[in-house]
Amino acid sequence: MLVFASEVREWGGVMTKDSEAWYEKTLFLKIFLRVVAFVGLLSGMVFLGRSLEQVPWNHGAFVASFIGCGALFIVASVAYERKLSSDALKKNVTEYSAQIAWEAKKREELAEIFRGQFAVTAEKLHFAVHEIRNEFAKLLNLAEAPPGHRRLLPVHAGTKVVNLLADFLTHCVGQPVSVCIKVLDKLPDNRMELVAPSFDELKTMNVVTVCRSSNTQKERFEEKLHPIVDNTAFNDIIYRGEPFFAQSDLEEEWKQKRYSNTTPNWMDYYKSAIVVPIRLSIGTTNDRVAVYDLLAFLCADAKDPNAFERLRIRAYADFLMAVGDALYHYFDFFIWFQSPRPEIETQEVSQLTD
Amino acid sequence: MPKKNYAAVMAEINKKIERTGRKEADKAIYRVRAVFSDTSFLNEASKSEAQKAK
Repeated sequence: MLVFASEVREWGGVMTKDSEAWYEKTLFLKIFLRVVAFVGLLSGMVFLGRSLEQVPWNHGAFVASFIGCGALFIVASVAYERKLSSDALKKNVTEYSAQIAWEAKKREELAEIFRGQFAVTAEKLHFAVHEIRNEFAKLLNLAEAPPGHRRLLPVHAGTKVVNLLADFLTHCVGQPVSVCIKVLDKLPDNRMELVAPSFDELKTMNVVTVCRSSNTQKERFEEKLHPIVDNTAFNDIIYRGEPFFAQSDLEEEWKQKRYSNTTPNWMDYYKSAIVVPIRLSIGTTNDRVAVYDLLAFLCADAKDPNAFERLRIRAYADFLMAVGDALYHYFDFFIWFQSPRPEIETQEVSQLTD
Repeated sequence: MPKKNYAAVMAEINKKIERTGRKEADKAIYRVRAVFSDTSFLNEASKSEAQKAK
């Protein structure tokens, strides 16, 4: 009976293992029932051993009451166990349902946040690509514009794009993020193109800023040439072949002698930075190394270390690379427009200003 | 639309790598191009942009 009662209780207890109070009740009940059973068994043995012949087995009322008491005890025990199991099950189901509801609510809240963030991201990406497309159209219409005006087109287009990116990244990071576009200055021997630059050739090459976002500190607008080999961000990409440069704590990297920068007092302006190449994959070498056509760099920086959180810095770099991919074709076409093209007929020059 | 002759570029890169024996760039190799033939005007452009900056 006790075993049966205990089993019943265990069946009910399958779903209630999370309930500490239930276990305490179980322990108390098991001990209590076993003490009662032990005392009952002992008493019965003593009674049977000492005066078995005195038991009135032939007395119907005694036998009936004996069987009735036993049956009542069994039924009461089972009923009590079932009640305990049922209560525990109900409580557990209630708790479990509440937990499921809470988790569903949290999931919905997170999904809502994601949808909100995604909406902002999608909007900014749309605007950036939209601007690039519009500027591209201007470039196509102004192919024959005077060079003095024409060369400013990438500056105007780039400024619009970096302002959008700066606005978006500032929104994401929670502090001002400056964005700029840098291009290569004159290549060795005044060439416009160079393949597989060696380290010696890189030593003679510099980058210069084409445009900056308007939230950048004024003193940073005085543009100077920056040698590639002395600036880890550009050297890592061009010479070491890294797909991008992204560091959330430049000061620490600088202390560890893993980062160099030729901008005076650069730490006054930024301590987190991301630099992505504006490039196109054009094939692989005989040794199956990827070859890219590189035109410029898209750079973002923020003043505080860890402004671009270490865990999410790749996502920021991906976003910049998405816009950089669109900018590649803009700069590619600009180079083409700058080059001599006798086959193009003279076109009417339209308005130069935006 | 500009025509792309990447095969010629790749041939030139392979030839240069054979000639120079460049080992360091094992992740990616670049063909770099200058967007502007002369970048001296950028500083002037930058100054005018600085006026608009905060």
